Amino acid sequence: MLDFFKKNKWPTISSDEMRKRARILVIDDEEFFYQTLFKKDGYNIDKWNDVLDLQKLESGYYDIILLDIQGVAKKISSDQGLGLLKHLNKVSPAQIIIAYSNADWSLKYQEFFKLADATLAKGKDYIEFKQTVDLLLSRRFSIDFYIDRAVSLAGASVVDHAKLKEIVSSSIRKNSPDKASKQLSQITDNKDVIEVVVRVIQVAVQIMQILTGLNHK
Amino acid sequence: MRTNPRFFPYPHVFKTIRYDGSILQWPDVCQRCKSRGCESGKTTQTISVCEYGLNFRRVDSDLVIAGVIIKEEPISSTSNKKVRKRYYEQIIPKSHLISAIETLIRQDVDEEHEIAEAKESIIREYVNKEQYKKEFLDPLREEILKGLSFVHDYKQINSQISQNINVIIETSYNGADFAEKLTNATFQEKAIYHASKFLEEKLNVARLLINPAWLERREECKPFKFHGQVIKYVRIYDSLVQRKNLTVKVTGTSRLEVLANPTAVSVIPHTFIDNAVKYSPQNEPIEIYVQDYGDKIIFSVSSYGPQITNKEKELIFQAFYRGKAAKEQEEEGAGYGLYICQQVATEHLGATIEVTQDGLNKKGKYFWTQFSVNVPLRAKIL
Repeated sequence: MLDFFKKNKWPTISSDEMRKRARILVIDDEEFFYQTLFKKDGYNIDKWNDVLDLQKLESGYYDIILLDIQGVAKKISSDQGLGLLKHLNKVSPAQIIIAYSNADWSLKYQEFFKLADATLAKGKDYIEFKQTVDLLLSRRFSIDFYIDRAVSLAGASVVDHAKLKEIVSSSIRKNSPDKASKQLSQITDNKDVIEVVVRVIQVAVQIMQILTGLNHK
Repeated sequence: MRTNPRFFPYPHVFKTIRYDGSILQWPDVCQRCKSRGCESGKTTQTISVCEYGLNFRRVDSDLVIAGVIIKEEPISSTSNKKVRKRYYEQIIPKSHLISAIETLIRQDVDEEHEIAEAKESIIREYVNKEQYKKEFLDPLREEILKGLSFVHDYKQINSQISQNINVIIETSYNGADFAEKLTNATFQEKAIYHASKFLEEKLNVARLLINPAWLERREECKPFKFHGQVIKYVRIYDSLVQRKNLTVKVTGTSRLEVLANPTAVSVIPHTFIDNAVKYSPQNEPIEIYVQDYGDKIIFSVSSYGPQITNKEKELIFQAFYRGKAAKEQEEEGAGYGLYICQQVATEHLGATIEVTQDGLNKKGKYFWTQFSVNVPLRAKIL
């Protein structure tokens, strides 16, 4: 009985462990001088001058992506960073993206900042970058993030948000994303929403398995 | 401005040109008159008499009614009696003259109202047709875009400076946090760091100037401590303060949070402190007061500064206007800081910035100047 509860409990990890486990990517055609500081503080951080591997991005390999809006992803979209952000929101809805840009002054790019999980002006201090990344990593490794993300993606398509939260939470804990689809169809007819929520559950299950593995080491 | 009084019943001079009235014409003596005494003199309510014994009354700077004889006016000399006899057809009762003037003033008011309505209608039509975009905005678009690209370039360069100085300070000094590491940094490193922050703030102000629509965006609003912003700028300006040997004293207690656009609101403490540091003579005090008071925060910055005349007290809040004494004292400065401040105060917060001046400093040249605003806890736009 105790094993059953233990088995279905979302694992917790220390912030040090979280930092070591996390994979961060910066996509920017300009230099990113804080990379050395992040590495010094024990983060795994990669830097791409442009999108080098779209499949890797779509697979959710990186826990956090710091994405610039200008000068990147030109081959993918004429909207550059915004185009990539929209694409990732669609194919990898649990992906955490920080809109990291100097273009925060322009109203033209506000959609980019609105769609992202957080925003960071390039001129901010390292400490603010670190705090933002740490905060988002703690969300990345918490079940609440996935439940909230599912609710936000479902929007008005689902009226009973309490039921939706229950389904998502239970499906993650029981590692049963396949069953979630059937349960979700009872609270919404919108197939796109069902699909996207199931995808969020799948990512959450993967994270839960990784965390459980780390705890057993 | 008065228009020519058409169909006025009596002879009159309008903008130095003489016109016959619709009832009475100019008498021949006025045709011969060279002194034209009726046309000189200030606006008056009284009826005067000219050297030929005829009466006149100036209505305003443009209009004089003359060449008439007012029945009730006293006859002061024998010659005047003769004039009355000779020009008896020019005699009118005083009440007629007053009535004619009143009618004229009423017509003017109506006419002004009509003109104002017509102007408004033309403007409305112009705006509705969106013609202004083609005629006004489109030619300016390129200039605006140039301004935007400059802001972007400066931000790009500044972010590189900021990141590099952060790396230097973070890797070269020990300390529990960045603030402690910064304290241990060299004077030059601190100066670079603060200059970079200073430029970032200036660019934020430029952003509001280029696009005031930022002030209307509700999504930019979040809770923040106004007191924290004030302290931030006191720190940023510390090296400039030291250079001029000024003393900055912050008093009052403030713990309340403001729900508004923090970037926009920060322009107010930034500009107040910037102006105080910029215009204060050396070795003088700057007093900053931040105090919670009910549902607002009283904020003021006082320092010695150049004279702001009564006329200038409103003008200094207009875009690109700089006070005369301020221009003489300080060559640099574009004159948009206070304009943006007032825009943020009125359009975003629903408050008003006020300026007062009194006592001169010991040298007798600079006035104790206070800029103040009552910051509400919730932006007007919410």
